[in-house]
Amino acid sequence: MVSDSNEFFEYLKPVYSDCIRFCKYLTKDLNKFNYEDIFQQSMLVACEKFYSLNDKSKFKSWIFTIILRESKNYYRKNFWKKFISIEEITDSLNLEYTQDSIEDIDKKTLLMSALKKLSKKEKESILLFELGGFSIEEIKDIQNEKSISSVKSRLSRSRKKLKIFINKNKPDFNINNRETLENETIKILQRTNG
Amino acid sequence: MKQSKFYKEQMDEENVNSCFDEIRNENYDNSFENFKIKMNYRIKSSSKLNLSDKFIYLLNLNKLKLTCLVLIALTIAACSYPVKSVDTLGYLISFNAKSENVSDISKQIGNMKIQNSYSLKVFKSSDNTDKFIKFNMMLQNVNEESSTQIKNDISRINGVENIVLTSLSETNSQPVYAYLLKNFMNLNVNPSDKSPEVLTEEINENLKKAGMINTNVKVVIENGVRRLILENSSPNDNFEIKLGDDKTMDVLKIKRLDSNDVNQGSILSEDELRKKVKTENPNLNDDDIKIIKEIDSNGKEVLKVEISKED
Repeated sequence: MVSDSNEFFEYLKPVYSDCIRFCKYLTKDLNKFNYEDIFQQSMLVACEKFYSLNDKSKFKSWIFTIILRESKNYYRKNFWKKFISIEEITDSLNLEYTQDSIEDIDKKTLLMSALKKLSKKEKESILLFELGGFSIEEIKDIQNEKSISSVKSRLSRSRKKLKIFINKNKPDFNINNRETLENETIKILQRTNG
Repeated sequence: MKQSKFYKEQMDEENVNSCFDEIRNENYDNSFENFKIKMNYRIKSSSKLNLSDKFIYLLNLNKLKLTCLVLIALTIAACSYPVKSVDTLGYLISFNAKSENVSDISKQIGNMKIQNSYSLKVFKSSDNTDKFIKFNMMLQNVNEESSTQIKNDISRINGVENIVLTSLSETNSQPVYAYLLKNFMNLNVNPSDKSPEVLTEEINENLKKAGMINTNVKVVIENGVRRLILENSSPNDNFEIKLGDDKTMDVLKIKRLDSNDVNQGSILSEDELRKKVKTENPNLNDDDIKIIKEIDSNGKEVLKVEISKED
């Protein structure tokens, strides 16, 4: 089991960040406790079942499938967790990443709001495609779909929805404009000082 | 300068991509080693657990679910525990009168506007064999207040003596759920296109669910009309079954009386008996039906019906 777990971590390391990102944006509310819980539970299940994975080249799609399943289970079982005292909640994993600038936060918040407009399946597909980097064929297998065309149309539909929402609600993403504004402010300050 | 449609679409796409790029840039690799240590600790501690520890761990994890299960089990057990209940079935007004006043009193009672169903039994008093006649009036589906009112009205009639109002009750021992369902079980069955066999099964199943395990009802079709027939019944079961729609409704209502309190064979009064015979034989006139009072082998007074119809 221990040797298995070491091997498991060897395979996990290259996809570790991908898994956390997928887990994080798959959760409904970006709640830190929620996605850390889902991630931790998924990793425990994956580590336990790792011996049963015969084709190790499919590790990434296999672990993403587990995350998807555990995420569904988490919200199904969440009702009972409401009654567990705070002391009983397992300690946080403290998953950290490099801090964002205000502009990055704007974009992420906007994307999160846009993702909320998608259906569960649509959200899963687009995240698998964009964050997981899976091909349509792989997404078909992960989502247990019968045809590629249904995945294709779902992806196209989701992207269209995201595009409409983001462009309707976007702040000014244009960096050039921002630079111009900064320059003008500096000029005004120089003039007043001068 | 007007932007081309293609250029706008390109920009829109770029906006979506830039949002995803921001997320793709989130790098968690720094936390991997820390995560690995924590996970290894959890894996090792869980593999060290022996069977009893695992059991305790599972109990702790699911203690709320277990509590709910235990509560449900306790509720079911409590509902199945037999409780004693006393049910009032009706009221009995008994009084004495001299034999010469019997017909007068009967007429006056008949003229009283009693809205509830009742039966009146008249028989010779055992105390004074010839002089006094005893009246027993059984009131059903009536509350104490109304029955006291009726008793007061009767006591005002000339010749009525020793009037007593007694409540008729029965004591049952049954599970709580059966007690709750029993008072009073109403069952409305929509026959739609179901066969009599299916309807019979459905009704009996509902009766059993209500705790009436010894009661059986059968649905038959007589002359193209659906009828409910009571096959077996337990003395404690009270229920009403309605079978059919507004146009063709067959109702079976069973409400038991205590045999110690009421002589069931004499519940029908003379008028009620006459009415019943006429309902069953609509072509008969009042003159065709003769009701004779007789004393049976047990010394009880019974009513005998004789029908004579001349074509």
